Amino acid sequence: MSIRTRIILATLAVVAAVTVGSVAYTIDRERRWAVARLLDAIGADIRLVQVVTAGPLYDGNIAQLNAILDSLFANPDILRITLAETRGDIALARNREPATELGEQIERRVRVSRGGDELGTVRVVYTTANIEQRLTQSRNTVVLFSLLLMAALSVVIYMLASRLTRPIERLTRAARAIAAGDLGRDIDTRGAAETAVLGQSFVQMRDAVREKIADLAENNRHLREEIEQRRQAERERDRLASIIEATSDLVSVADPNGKVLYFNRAGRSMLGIGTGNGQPATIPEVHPRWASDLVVAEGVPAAIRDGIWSGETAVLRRDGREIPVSQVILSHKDPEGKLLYLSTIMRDVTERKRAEAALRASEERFAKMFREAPENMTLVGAADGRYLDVNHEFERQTGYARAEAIGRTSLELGLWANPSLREDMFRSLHASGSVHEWEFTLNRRDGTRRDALIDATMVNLGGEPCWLFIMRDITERKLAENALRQSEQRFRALVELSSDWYWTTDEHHRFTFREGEVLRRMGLAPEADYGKTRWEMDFVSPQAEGWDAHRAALERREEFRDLLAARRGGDGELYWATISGRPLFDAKGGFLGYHGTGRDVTAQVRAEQALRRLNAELEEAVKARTAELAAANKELEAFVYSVSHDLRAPLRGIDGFSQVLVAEHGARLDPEARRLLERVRAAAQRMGRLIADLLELSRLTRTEMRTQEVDLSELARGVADELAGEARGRDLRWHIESGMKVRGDRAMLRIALVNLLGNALKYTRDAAPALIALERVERRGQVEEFVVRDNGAGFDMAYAARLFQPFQRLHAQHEFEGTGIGLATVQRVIAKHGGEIRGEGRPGAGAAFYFTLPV
Amino acid sequence: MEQPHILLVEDNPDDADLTVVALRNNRIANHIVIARDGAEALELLFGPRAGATPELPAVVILDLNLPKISGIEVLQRIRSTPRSALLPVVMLTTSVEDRDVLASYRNGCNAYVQKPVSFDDFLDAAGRLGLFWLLLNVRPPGQ
Repeated sequence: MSIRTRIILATLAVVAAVTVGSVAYTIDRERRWAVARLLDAIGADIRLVQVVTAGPLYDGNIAQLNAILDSLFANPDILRITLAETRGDIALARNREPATELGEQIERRVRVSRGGDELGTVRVVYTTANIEQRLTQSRNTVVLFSLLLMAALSVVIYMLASRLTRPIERLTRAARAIAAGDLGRDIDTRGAAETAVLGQSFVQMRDAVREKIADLAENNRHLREEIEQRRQAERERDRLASIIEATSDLVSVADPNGKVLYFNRAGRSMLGIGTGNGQPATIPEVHPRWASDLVVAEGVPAAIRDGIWSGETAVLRRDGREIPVSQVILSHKDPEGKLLYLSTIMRDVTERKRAEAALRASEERFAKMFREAPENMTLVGAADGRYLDVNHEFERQTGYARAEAIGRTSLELGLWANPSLREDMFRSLHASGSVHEWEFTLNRRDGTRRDALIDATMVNLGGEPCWLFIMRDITERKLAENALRQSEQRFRALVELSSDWYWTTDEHHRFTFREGEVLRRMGLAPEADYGKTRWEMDFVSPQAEGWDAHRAALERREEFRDLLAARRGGDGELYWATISGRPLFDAKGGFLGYHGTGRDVTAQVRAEQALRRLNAELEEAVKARTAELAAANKELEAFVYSVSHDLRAPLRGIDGFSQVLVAEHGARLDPEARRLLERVRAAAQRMGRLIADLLELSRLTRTEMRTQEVDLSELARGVADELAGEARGRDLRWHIESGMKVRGDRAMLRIALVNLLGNALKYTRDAAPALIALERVERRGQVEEFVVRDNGAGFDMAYAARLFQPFQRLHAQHEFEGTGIGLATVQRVIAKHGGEIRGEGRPGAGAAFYFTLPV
Repeated sequence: MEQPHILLVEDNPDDADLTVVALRNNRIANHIVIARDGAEALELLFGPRAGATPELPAVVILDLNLPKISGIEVLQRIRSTPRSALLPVVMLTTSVEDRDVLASYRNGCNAYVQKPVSFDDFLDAAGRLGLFWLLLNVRPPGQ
């Protein structure tokens, strides 16, 4: 802040403080005086109100009261007047807003009374607002005046101060510029006397400083140039040193006496030494004996003589190891030709040597591999096509020895069944540099032929270009290929012609292949379901969980057979198929999926369904018929039972009373009457027998079998004895084979034998002797056939069908008596035992009845 | 001592007459009392409800198929009554059914004779019956 500004501000501050103080004091005094006057006026007003309102209030003269209040309210210091009569009849009021918010309110309350009676109350509120307003106006006036005064004062002070302070300010600015380094600036030395002296001294001092600075700048420039030159030289030297230090070759320097002066880093590391001590002192110490001899005897003299020598030497490491190097020795001389020092560069050639050795080994390996390789390999000269070498496998495959082959061409050996093919191959070989899987027929030395493939490529052997041939015998493979092709054709034929189809699925049981003409006949595209599992397909049967058992079997990798499934074909018809499959595994036993066949069995399933339906119907019918039959049988049995009993009683009567008639009244009857009565009796008795036989037949039907082992021979003998008793006097010859054992109901079998043997006896009546036999015929598994044979009357086979029907007789009653029930009974017995019976006979030549029984 | 009578229980009059003829032809002179049904037979054997007990016959010839009370029932009554428990009873019937024969013997008949259709056979059978039971058989003591 300049001096001038400070002076002005100080002066103004003093004037302002005085003005504010005096104005505050004056206004405060003015306010107190005005308020005191107001209080005086209020006192007078109140007293006046007490007096003037008592009368009108007492009288109730409101007009007068209003007039009093109006006159009072003319005073602008009054804000509010309220007049309230004690009785409450009269209540008057006046109100106004204060002129300003400033000031305070003064309230007075007076009771108006007359003669001790209180008539009412008057409340008057005053304000000092008017006073404050006036005071504010006067304060504003004073402040305005003061400000004008101060402004005028400022101008006067400014003018005075300018003359004094301006030269000093100029000097100050010049000093600041010099401090900032601006020495060339003009300095104004005008001003008051003291100020001018000060300014001139300041100018002298500035000139001296300016001269000194120019000297210093010159010195600095020289110094910088010198430093830069030195740095340049150092960088050059460092670069050369770093190149030498960085190179992987050994670099060394020695004096003309052979004393070693320097080794670079690669050299130290090659020698296996650190910096400083331990460094070889002379040239021979660097090399092994043989190399140092070479260097000292030949290298150094040659370098001195010619300026440079190079050769293959070696470095001796600290640890005794020898490192092969290729070495260059240089000699450095001054212009007069005097030797200054020797330098050498050595390169480690260990790797090169190793690579050369490796190459040699590789070539040996190749030779061995070539010779021992399991492939037929040959090397052929590119120029003449003659064998340079052949391997063992060549000898084995062609039958030619190595010695025979080398130096000859394959054509000369006659290896090519078709020599023109060889020309083609070489043409192709020359064109493209190699051939791949060139097929040809090989003629072996023994004349047999083999199919082979040739691969050939150009190789460089010891710098000589030649062809490497590899030949593979593919005879077996071709045979296998042919077999495969045939198998595929057979499969194709099978697929196209059979009513089966073939399918494969992957390890997730999704279809990967399906082929068969029959599928197309069903209207199904074989490929349509690829990628789907069976249970994802639209089978009508099985559905959903119907596949669970099958899927479980698949997870167990089990073979499955004849899985029945139904599906709608492209034509909407329901087709049935049986599917069979087995799992496929790779060589390591990994599961690959399933493969198998499907078969269209729609016709079969439809037939089976029809058959099943028919069977069910038939079974129902049989059941119904059986029930009907059983009921009918029962009725019939009851009928037979009662009939046979009830019929016999009258017969007995007929017979009995006829007898009684003859016995008691015979004398009165003529012989003809008696003969007729006898015929009546005979008829009745015959009917009686008929009924008895019928009864027996029916009883057989109803009786439960009691199966046991029965000695048929013994049983037959008993029956024969019994029968023989009834036929005394006849010439009878029985032949009953012994030891015939059967399983059956003894009582029933006896009835059968009685009838069979009885028949035989009856029909042999006219034969003498009568021959009756019971014999075994043959055993058939669990049953045995027997025969009852006689030499009696026999029968006509034309009527054989009627033999076993009840009441059917082949002979007239007068020839042979009988009821016609006997054979029916026999047949029933045999049938109950699960056997069969048949009769054979010829009239006059006897009869034979064959029957089977379980044994 | 008066000859004891024979009780013939037979509903068929023809058979009854023929049986009588057959017995007479075999010179069996015992008085023959005929009962036409089971109830009558029981009355003849054990008397009416309030009456005195009649004398027992020498033998009872009993048909199986009888009106009112069957032959088997009559047989059971005879055997279950102490007085007649040992009375000889001969079943004379047309039936040769096993079940009838078994039922008769099981209830204690002394003999089972089938009525043959032929009167000659019938005479034989009746004769054997009469001789056996009336002449040869010793009656139980105290009767």
